[in-house]
Order: sequence, then C-alpha cells, then structure tokens
Amino acid sequence: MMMGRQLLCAAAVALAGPAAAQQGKPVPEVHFLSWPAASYSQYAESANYVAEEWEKLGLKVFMDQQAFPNPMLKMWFNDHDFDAVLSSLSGAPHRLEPDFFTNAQFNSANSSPGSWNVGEYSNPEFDRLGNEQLGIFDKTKRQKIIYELQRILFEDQPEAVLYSPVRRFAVNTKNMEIDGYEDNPQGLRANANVMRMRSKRDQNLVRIGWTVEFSVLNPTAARTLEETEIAALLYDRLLWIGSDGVPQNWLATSVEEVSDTEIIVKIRGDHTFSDGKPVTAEDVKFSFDYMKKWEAPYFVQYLSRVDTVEAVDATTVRFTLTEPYAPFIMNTLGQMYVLPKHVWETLVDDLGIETPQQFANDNPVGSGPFTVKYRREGSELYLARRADHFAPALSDILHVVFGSAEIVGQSLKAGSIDVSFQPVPPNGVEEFSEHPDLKLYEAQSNGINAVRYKVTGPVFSNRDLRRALFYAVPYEKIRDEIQDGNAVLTSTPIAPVNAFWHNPDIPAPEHDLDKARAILKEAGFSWDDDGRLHFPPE
Amino acid sequence: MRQYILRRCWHMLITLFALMTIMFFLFRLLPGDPAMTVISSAMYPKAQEAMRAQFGLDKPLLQQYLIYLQNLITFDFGYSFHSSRSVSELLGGRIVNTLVLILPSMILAYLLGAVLGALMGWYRGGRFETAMVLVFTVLQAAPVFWLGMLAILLFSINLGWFPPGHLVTPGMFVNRDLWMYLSADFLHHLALPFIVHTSYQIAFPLLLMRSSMLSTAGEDFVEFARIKGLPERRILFRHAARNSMLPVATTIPMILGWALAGSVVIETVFSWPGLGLLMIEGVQRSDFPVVQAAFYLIAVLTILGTFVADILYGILDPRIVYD
Repeated sequence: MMMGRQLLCAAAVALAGPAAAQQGKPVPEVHFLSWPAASYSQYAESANYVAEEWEKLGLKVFMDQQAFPNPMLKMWFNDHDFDAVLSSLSGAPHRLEPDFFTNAQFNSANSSPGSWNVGEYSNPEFDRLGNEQLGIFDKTKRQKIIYELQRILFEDQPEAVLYSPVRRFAVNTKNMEIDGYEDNPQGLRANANVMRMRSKRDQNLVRIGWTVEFSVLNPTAARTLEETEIAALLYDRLLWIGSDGVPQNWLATSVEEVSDTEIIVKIRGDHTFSDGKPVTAEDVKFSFDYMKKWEAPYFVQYLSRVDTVEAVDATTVRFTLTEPYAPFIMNTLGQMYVLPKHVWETLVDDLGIETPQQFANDNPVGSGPFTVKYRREGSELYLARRADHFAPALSDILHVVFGSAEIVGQSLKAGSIDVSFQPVPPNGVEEFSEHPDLKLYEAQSNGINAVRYKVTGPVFSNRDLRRALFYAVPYEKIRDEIQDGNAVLTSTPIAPVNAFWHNPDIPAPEHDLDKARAILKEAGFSWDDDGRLHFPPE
Repeated sequence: MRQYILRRCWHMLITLFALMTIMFFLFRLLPGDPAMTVISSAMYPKAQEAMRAQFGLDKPLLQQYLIYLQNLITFDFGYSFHSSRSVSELLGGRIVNTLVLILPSMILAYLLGAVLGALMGWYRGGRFETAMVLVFTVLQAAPVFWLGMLAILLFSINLGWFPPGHLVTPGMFVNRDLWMYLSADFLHHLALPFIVHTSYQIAFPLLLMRSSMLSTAGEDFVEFARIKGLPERRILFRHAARNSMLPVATTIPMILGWALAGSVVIETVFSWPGLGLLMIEGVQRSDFPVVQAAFYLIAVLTILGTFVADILYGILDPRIVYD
C-alpha cells in the first residue's frame, strides 16, 4: 500500500516534470569525518572512493580530514560531530566475542558520549535481542540471536561495512623462526606467536621492532589493547583466547557455569610467581577486587557485572555475577590478570602514592611466561623467558622502539632486528616478499572498516538513503586498488573469519549505482537540474 | 650594573610567567581530549570519568591553572597521563641522551662555523667562499628530517657504515651507565645523527661570523696591523677574527635552550630516545604534564641564556654600558 503510494507520487513527478516543485528539501552536505591522508592514506583514500560514488548519486560531500588521534577521536567518539565517519575498529582475539561488533556497537544504551554507538543508532527490537543474548551461555541458542542482530543491521544499514583487513607481517628468517605460526587476528603481535618465536643466534634472543613503545607495565594502568597484551606476557590470565575465539584453559584448569550468575574456576596448584611464591585462589580473588576497587581503566567495564569473588579453597574461585552475562568468560576471564596479592596489597600505603596507577612497576613480579630483565625508557624492553613456566616461551624477547615505520622496515631487511610488528603496507608486499631473508605472515583480522552514519543527523536519519548507499560503495575497487587485495569483503560487522558467529545468509556486498538510484526513486527521492539529490516531499 | 641585573631578573620572571600561562591555555585550547587519546580502545565512560578525575581534568579551568602555577613554583611536574611515571623521572632520563648528542654537536658547529666563517670573510670573493656559501646555505635550507633520511639511506642502508638509529645496539647493554656512553658501540651510533645535526647547525654561526668579518676586514686597525708588517695569519686570527667574534659569542649562552628545542626532528628520524622524541610522543598523546614540563625547561634555559648573553655582551665589549 505504502509502496503503491510512493510509486504514484513518483509517477506524478515524472509526468509533471521537475518544475512541478514536488521535490523535498535538498539533502544537506554530508560532513564526512576522515583520517589524515599523510599518515593514514589507506583510510583517507577509502573515504574518498566512497564519497566519489556518493557524488555520482547527487550527494554533496565535505571531506573533513582531521588529525588522529586528536582531535579526530573526540569528534568521533565524544562529540559525534559528523554525518559519516570512516570507522576502523581493530581486530583482537577477545573481539571474537560476538557482542563487541554487534550489540556493544549499536545498542541505544551505548549512545552516550564516549561509548561505542557513535552513530546513535536505535532500534527497540535490536536492543531487546542485544540485551537478551548477553544472558545466554548456550552457544547455539545465542548464535541464532547474533545472526538475527546481523540481519537487522543489514536491513537498517547504520553503517556500510567496507571490508575486514588482511595484514601482513614480516620476519627476517636469517636470525629467527616461528615454531608453528598461529593464524591470529593480531598476526605476529599475538602473544601466541611471540611465545613461539625461536632465535637462531647464539644469544637466545628475538629482537622485535615497532614504533609503539611498551611504556606501561602496570596492569592497573593499562588502557590500550597493546598495553594489555604486553602485560599478559608478565601476568597470567585465567583463560587464553585462541585464534578461533574459543577460550582455552591457561592458569585455570576448569571453568564450570553452575548457573547463569555463578561460575566456578579451578586454577593450577603448582604454579609460582617470579619471586617463587605460589599462585593461589586468594591472589585471583584479590586481583578482581583490587582492579574493581581502583577502577583500572581497561578492566572497569568488564568487572562491572561481577558481584562477588570468593576463594573457596587454595585452587577454587567462585564468581557471582549481578546478572547473567555470557561475555564474562571471554571478556573478563579471558582478559583479567592474576596479580600477586603480597606485592600489591599494601603498595599504595608503602609508597605513599594516591592510586596504584602511579606505580611504574619497572620490575614486575608476575606469574607470566616472561619477566622484565631491563627496560630503557624510550628505546628497549627486554623480556627474559621463564623456563619454569607451565607453557614456556622459546626465546627471550627484546622490544625495540623506532621513531619511524620506514626505519623499522629497513632495519628488518638489514637484519638488525628479527621481527617487525609494523604491518607491511599493501604497496610494500611485493618488495618484502622478494627479499631473500624475509618471510611474510598473513593475518586475517576480525576488525572491520566501515562508513558509520550518524542516524540522528540531518542526512542519514533517512533509512532509505542508507539502504541505497549500500550499493554505492566501490567494494572491489577499494579492496584491489587501496588494499592491494589484502581485504575480505563482508556486509556484516562480524567478519567471516569469526566463522561461528558470522551470519552467512546476509547478502554479499554489491556495487551497483543503478540499484541505488532505483531504491532512492522508489522512496520518493528526486534530483534537481544540477543533479543534486532531494529528500522525498514531506 | 647590579640594578640592571635585578631589573633583568624581574623581567625574566614576568616573561616566564606569561609564557607558562600562554602554554597552559594553548594546550587546553587545542581540539581533542587527553582522556580520549590515552584510553583509545577502552572508551568506557566510567573509565573516562575516573581518568579525568585522576588527572584533575574534571576541575574548572581556573582551578587547574592555579594548581599548575603552584606546581611550577614547587617544581612538581606531576605524573605523565600516559605512563605511570613522574614527569621529572621521565625528563631526567631523556635529557642526558639529548645532551650527549646535541651539546657536542653544537659546540663543534660553533667552532667550525667560527673558523670557516672567519676564513670566508677574509678571503671574500674567491672560489672557496662561493662554494662554502652555497654548500652551507643549502645545508641550512634543507629540512633536517630530509637530511637525516638521506643520510640513513646512503650511509646506513646502501653503504652499511652506520646503524640507522638508537643509542646503542639493542640488547647489548643491560645498564645505562657511563660505560655505555663511553663504549665504541655508542659512538658508532652517535656518529650519523651527530654529523647530520652538526652540518645543519653549522650554517648559522658560519654566516654570522662571515658577515661580521666582512665589516671588520675593512677597519683601520686591520690596515694598521698590515702596515706594522704582521703576518697575514696573525692579523686574521689575532686581530680581525677576535673582534668579529662578538655577535657569535653572544649567541653561545642560548645554545642550550635551542639545542633542547631543536632535538625534536633529529631524534625522531634517528629513533634517539631523548627529550625531543618524548615531546613528540607527549603531543601525540595529549600528555599535557610531559609536554608542559619539557617546554618549561626549554623556556627557562632560553630565558637564562638570553640573560647571560646580555651580561656577556657588556663584559666582552667595553663600549656597552649598563645603566
């Protein structure tokens, strides 16, 4: 009925011609928040490619390239100051937890400044299902809802998903090898791969170069993914997230879901901290309570649903949740560290500091597979392997900080470092693969690059426009020309690599401007003499 | 003289106060939010609030400013927003690295610059002078990051003579002590950034000395020295050059401030973990305490340097009288 009326309207406009003034208001200029071309050329170019297609449909685009991280992050996450933003969410094993790319990103409860729902998308049905899946521990039942969430997102198009990137990392095989590379979203940066790096030199040491410095060794102060990952080499987690997204026992020997809100974890009884003291259930309880009490920035969100933690005996811990929360296993148990109670308990008072976040922790006492041999501010961090760990690493690791990515690459070629944590840029893949000593490793990320719309804004509050623009993205051109083929196309934010949760029934990305025009026409959009797109008449 | 010094001290304090005030507001006027930068991937509103409170960013701007001034007076630079370290500790570790690179390089640049500048001014119009002016003007005009990158490409990558960056070979020294700074490995790493920085810095004293020498060369006392029959070399260095040194000498006390400020680019190119690299990291991360402290240090050194230069002027040149 509705569609019939629209068709009649369209027919009337066609018969009377544009002069009949049946047009709605012109679509306002799109404020497209993008990345600085100098340092993030791939993202900036992707945004340009999309904008070019939009302009063919009669949209006017103002490309607003802002410096990253500041002020872009603030405009993106705090002020929501855009109509469209080229969003890049990086992949990580714990982001294989399906909540992150669906409910966390698009639940209307997360629309406040600083939260993930930057486009302020709102759909009551989506919110209801999103909240429901959080309480379902049964994977098959939960999968159905996650599939449904992806379907709703496809229908509503709060973002146009561009691709899921494939990154390549390089090592110099002259001096090191990897004993069984794990295809992980983080590639060589994944701790699973760091543990498998074996030096071929006399000094059993693998030297890793990156432009990022690991300057935060204090787990209570860790804020970024990189900082939490390096801390995980020094402090054991209860679970280890495998590249398939399945949690594996690490310090824990079993995890039992007694009920929706009660989980019992048993830990190893034979493991020690680097100072020789045993790791006990008391340490686990202490760590959770301590991180919550001091509001450790990274973990505060994952601990918000933990009600009590109780050490039942020396190796058993009981967690009670305030409400059923399925991501608890992966997000909380899979990320939280176990701190030695005897080191941290009286630390704030002993040192006379205000919070534990002010503690530099240059010589961490942890139970992890490495200890810090030395750290040189701004240049080196030497991690010595612990031979007595239950899963010992193969070599010592030296992180070397560089001022520029180009020099990291050149040093790798020259053999002065063995591994680069800097991904090989798409246009450098050929050069790197031709080098006799270098070997490239591929990492299919579960991260997503997308054009996120502000659905409460003057342009993209129109659902038909968003649906039409699904066909206005030159997906293959972006993949082949900008990414040099290093990307996987997908229409849903859960990347195909996250196979269990990815909904395979969502239609594949399709670039077809005629289809986009047809959807717009059908919805009552029109074009003026200058080709500018107008909203349907009110 | 005493009154002049007292007045200058008062001026210095006002300048420093104005500078630090401008700096405080300038950083806070910059678009962006430090809490957004430092917690990036864990942008959980509650965590942001807690961090703002921890950094004092939740307080009214005026209150933040007063705390800032109080901290400056007591030399309490606080804690870095990014790492859990006190700013004094961070700065202390980095300044040594900057000084070992920049200070000897500036001293050499001034020594060579003064000697070459004197020769160029003396032998004006010759091929030597034309070639030197061309070479050093080009060196000064070329951006130092470009010079650095070219040097790395040629001497590190193509010829393999020098390492492309860092203080020492990574993994070679466990402790950062005097032995590390005296080791052959350190000197090997120091060589390339040292040469590039010196080549870049030499042009200023050189051109200054040359122009000063040009005006001195025509003075009566030079002519008189010739008439006395003094050897040309003696006239050049003992009489002409000595009298031409004044403009160059008075810029020397300011070297330290310039050196610290000028270390930003060279340290980034050569991955040299000094104050400059720390400042770049601080700006990128909106780490206000680190950047403010670094700028404070540079400001203090520059203002002090200017003061010393003013006093030095009177000592070196008896014609200058302070009233």
